Amino acid sequence: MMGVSSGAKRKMAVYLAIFIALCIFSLVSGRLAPHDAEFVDLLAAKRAPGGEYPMGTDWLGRCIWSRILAGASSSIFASLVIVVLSMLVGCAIGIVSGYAGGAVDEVVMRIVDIFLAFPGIVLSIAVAGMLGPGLKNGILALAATSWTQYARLIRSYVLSLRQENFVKAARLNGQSGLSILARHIFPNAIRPVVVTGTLHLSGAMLSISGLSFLGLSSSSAEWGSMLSEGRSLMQQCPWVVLYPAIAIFLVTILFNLLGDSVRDVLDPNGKNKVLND
Amino acid sequence: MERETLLEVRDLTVRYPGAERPTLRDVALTLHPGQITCVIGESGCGKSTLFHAIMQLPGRVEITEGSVSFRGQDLRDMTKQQLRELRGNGIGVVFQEPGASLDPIRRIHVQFYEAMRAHSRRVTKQAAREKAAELLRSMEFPDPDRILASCPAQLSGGMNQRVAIALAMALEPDILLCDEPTSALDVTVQAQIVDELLRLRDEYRTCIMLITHNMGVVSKMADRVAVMYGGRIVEYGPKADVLHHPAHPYTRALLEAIPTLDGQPPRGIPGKRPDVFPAAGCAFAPRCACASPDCGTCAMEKHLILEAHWTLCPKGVTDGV
Repeated sequence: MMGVSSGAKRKMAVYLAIFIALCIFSLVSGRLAPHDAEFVDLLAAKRAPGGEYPMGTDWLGRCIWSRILAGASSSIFASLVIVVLSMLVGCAIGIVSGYAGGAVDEVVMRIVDIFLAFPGIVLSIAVAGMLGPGLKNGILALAATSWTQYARLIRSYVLSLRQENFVKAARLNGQSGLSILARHIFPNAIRPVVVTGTLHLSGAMLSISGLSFLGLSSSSAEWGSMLSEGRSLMQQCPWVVLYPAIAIFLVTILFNLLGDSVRDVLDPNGKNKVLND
Repeated sequence: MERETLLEVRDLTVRYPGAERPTLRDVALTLHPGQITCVIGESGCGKSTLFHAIMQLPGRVEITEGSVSFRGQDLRDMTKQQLRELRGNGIGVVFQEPGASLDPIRRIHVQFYEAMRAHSRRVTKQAAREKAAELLRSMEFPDPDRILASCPAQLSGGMNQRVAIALAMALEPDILLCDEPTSALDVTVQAQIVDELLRLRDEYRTCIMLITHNMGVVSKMADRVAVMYGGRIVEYGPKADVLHHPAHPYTRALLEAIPTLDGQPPRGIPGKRPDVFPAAGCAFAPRCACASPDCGTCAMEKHLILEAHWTLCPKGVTDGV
């Protein structure tokens, strides 16, 4: 019988603070770059880290440090937007579906099944292809395919929570349906969703770089595409892939640590271990 | 005997949606302030169905005949708003599993606040907390503030169950419905809860309806006992009459099945509870020691033994007492 220790809360607060700082930083980091991220200088190509270029340059002589700073917005901010967007849409649809039940539930879940019948990335590519290239369209394409996991997850929780005695007790205490939904069902069902969401962050980050690798998202600097474009140079000048990889690694680690600490606080019993499908 | 009637269950026949046969038949029961009514019987006899029928949770059970009325008003005629008002204020509930009525992720004091706020928008967090602390203190919790600041997972089962009772009592309901409140707890905690329910009854004149398997609890608490079998109340009466002069063969068999310390092994009831009870005649006849052929067809009428003590078995009157 362990409660939420203040240590767990402090931990979450720290990670959350770093996370928020990182998000804000990603919005402005492009302006902090010492060089133009897209500036090609073939004379300075493949420079080792040091001096004018703290992280070296790639095969076109673009400053890697500048590109990482510039790419932070598409990598971090975009993955955040994808997660939040699909979480909002998925939760709204899932809660309505689970709480309404009956025909509504049936129809919504069949639509979800249709979405799930396609491999996620293929569907995203199709949507991004229709919308045209661009970061915004890339985000939309990925959110359009990932809301289904949230809808399914929260629906299943709403369904099982509806049978719980404390929900019955709340009703038998005279609480109204809407207040039960808002105060009992939603807060109980949201925990696994938050955990899934934080895990989804890193996946979303890789997906958006996958799309940009295919030229379907942002065409400017982006961590994922830096990695995939530079991988042929790995032996010759490892810094081209090393620094974007470290950036992805650190941010992913932070996202996962945040996810874990959020779970520790929201779910002290450990009843809902990582739920992911 | 003129007494205020809080809840009246009249000839209630209930079935689960989609079921062919009713689960409850002709159940009649009245509850008065300050009175404790125990409903006993083996699993599947309809005790919990009765509980659901009284609480009118949507989609649970279907009342086909009879009625449940609270202070003279039929529950089915109530608007949603009236029902909401009744729940909590009029009738409080305590469930079987300790603390099942507590939301696992909300602190206890928030749950008190929410329960009170559902009935009065003016309740402040502070007032709710004070009221809760006072209730918990009256239930002999040594440290109410710590309890109120805890989540259910931080408390033991017995504590949770007592908190659940306090939560149900926070709205000072006229009736407290307890669905086997002690069966998941160990004996010392059971005794504590029994004492607390008794004290609440004395203090607030709450009417308690207790569904239980536990004969010890019945003999300690009950004023009236209703024995159920096969969806009917087969015997009803004051505690002393029912426990000491049981009239229905099922009640007798049930009492004989209690283990005692005098070295005699308890006698079980032969046979198994059928999955489907017969539509006509006595449901207990196939297992009854004194059944006769016409038991399977006889009409189920109440046979009065003494004032307020009746049984459905005609034999109970002749060779019972």
